[in-house]
Amino acid sequence: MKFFILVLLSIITISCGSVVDDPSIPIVDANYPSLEIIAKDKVFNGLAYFEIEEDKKFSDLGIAVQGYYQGEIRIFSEACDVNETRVYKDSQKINLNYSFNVDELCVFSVVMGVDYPKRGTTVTHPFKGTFVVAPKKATESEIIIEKIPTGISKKISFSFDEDATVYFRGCNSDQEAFFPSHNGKVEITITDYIIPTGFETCAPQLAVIGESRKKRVRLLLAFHSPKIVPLGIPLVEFDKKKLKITAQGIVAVVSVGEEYKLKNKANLKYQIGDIIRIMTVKGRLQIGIVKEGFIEWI
Amino acid sequence: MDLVKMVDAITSVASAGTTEIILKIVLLVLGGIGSILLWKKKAKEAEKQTQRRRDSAMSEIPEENSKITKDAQKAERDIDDLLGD
Repeated sequence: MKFFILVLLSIITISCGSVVDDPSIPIVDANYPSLEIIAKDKVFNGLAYFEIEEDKKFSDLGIAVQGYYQGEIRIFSEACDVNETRVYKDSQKINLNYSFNVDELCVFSVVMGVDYPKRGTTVTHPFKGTFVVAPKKATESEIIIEKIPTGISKKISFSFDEDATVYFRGCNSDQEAFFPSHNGKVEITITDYIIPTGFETCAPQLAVIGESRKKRVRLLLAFHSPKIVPLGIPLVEFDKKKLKITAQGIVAVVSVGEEYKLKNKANLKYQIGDIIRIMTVKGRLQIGIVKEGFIEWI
Repeated sequence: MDLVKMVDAITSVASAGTTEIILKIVLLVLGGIGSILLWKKKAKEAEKQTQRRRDSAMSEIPEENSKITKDAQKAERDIDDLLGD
């Protein structure tokens, strides 16, 4: 009798199951960008920066956001006058085909809320990302994107084969300093010059001026709470036709290409070039690209 | 632990006789219904909180976007001047 009661109660519990929770703080509270942004054949996780030529339209960049299951997405850009909320379904790619020209730098903020199947008693949290579209200028440029835990020292480097004076502008910075070039690169501890006021995202720029040449460095930095850490990379084994993926127990969804499983372990069909994803209900996300015999994590 | 206590309580009822069997079934059904109702209440609350979190994140982006944009555009203009772009 005891056995049958246990079985019955177990059935009730299983039938009322919920998507697995993640003990981390939500990414939106930590300013930890986490959103699958696609631009033609490139994929970004949470932050992206694009330069656009004067005669091109925004839609020429081929920017999209990958939706998961079904849900709602808000896209906002004050400078490019975009403010829309869309409902999506069937894990569709949400194309941002705006037909305007980009005459000045535009910052786009995106929030995506996912309706997980079997959400049950678990509170789920949205994904959030930022991308910048800026007109291409005459001076050569380089883009650097970083997620930086606040209070942690962070170095960046960019190619420049002369010693240079670097001017820092934006994100509470208005200073200059001299830096040597080593092996064609200039290295800077960026957190010595750009100090955030809190958990914030900002897009400062550097003017790098050497004796005979100059360069613009465009930065997109997300200073986030040090309490949030990137989601661990899962174990991925290659079979002939399938990937055997084993992620941490807190992972709610494992996905390859267009297939999604509400589990932390799955065997999924793949093709070279497919996107592999693991995500949690707090919005933490890891994205990779399936290559020949390995995964290139982004 | 609660599940084990509940099962113990149910099975501690005398094990023989029709009345006892009926009592066990009634307790079992009531326990099941109670669990489902409690679960549904929790699920409803989770749905509300999920929606609240989403609405809050979505409503915050205009102000945040405005701040990032103003700062980034000023940086762009300053660097344009320095580089002569």
